[in-house]
Amino acid sequence: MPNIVSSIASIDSFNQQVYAAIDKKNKNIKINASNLTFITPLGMVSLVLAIQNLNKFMDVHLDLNGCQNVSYLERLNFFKNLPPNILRDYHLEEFELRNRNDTSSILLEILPLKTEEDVECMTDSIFKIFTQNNLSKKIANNIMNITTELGTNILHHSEGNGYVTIQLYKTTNKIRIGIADDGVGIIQKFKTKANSSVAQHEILRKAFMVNESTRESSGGMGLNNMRINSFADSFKSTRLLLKTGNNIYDILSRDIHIFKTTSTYPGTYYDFCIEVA
Amino acid sequence: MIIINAVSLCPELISNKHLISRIKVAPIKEEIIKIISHADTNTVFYYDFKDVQAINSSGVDELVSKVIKHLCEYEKDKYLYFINLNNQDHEHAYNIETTLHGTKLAIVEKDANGKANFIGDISDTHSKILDQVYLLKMTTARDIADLLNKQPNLISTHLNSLYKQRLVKRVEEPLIEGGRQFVYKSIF
Repeated sequence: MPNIVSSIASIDSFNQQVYAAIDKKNKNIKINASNLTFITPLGMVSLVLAIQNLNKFMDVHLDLNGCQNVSYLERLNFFKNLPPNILRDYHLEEFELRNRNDTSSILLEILPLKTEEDVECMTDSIFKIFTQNNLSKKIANNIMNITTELGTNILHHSEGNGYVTIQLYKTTNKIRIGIADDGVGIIQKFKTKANSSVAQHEILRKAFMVNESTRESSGGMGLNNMRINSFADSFKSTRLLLKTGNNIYDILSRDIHIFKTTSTYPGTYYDFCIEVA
Repeated sequence: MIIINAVSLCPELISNKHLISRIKVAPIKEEIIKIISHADTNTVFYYDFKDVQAINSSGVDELVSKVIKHLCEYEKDKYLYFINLNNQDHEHAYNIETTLHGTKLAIVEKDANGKANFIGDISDTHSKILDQVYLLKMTTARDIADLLNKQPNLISTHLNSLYKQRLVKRVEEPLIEGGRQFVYKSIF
């Protein structure tokens, strides 16, 4: 697993292996994280989802021997969100007994999104990160709109498990958000039977570029509004990548392109990198 | 004047005063619309946002857009304005402005100094006319036309549009010389 969680493409490559193993009905699997050197927020939540799903079907061994990032993973609550049996070979007490510095001003640890209260907790964290770093309230509002829209979509539409983690990188003034679920995916939610990547692309374009919701009610500004907030004038730059269906999409301020065609597996994965100042 | 505090209307549904979940905010909206429906004609309501911690696009859609649409489509001569839109941690005015952009909806905010701010989808022309109405508190299309050096018929059309958006009040008054005219008033 060399740096497999540093980019959405590498995360996708890893997920393909995960779901291939599930399809093949393997009895056990070893995930070698010993040379893991860098992990993004989306990489973190994707790993949690992958391990949880593998654990449903086979014996999972997570190899962390020699991994340079164990303390960082522990600090982000990575191990806290894994099934307990995964950690039977490890003794993480030394990390749990450490005095933790308060990092709530720069990050939100991996948070499961199971209830409305979890979305509200995420919202509180976002405003804390922005106010404590003297960043614009406008930017905080934009980020809050993005994450609450996606968070409530996970609760009400995904039919799966979802997680979020957020980190502010002060040296580069970038905020990275990883938010993902292992549910039915956006394409399925828009009730399509299309299989070709071109058709799926058009469905995604409609979802992101037009005011439309899967809900019967007249409400729901949905993904279009999320896109608008992602490219607010208050941001210096935005890179937004999405994996759903059988494509990775590059979502732009006025369009949505296919970044890479891959294969279909459950879930929706958002990778945000926003330069805020 | 009936005061509506959007947050306190349904405290059992809003535990920490975030208005970010459509499922939580929609019932509040229904309750507010019920209160509006049962009120007398010419009632002016206001939302006090001092206790609102966060409101996102879904919350604005339910609590602002849909309530304004209800006022415009189903209620005669009932009005709504906002106070305390910005606090230490939140800039609700910016969020509402962003969400209302492109919707043809707008709201009036009464700021801490009693001044009117117009938020949402408002053209430059409408903004200039609204500034005059709220400065003068009570005026006619002819008066504004003279101030802005425009044709009275054109200003009358704009004022009618602003009245339909519930951004100004309108009453009909007889003229001394016979006939009637519309008089436009600020809603606070």
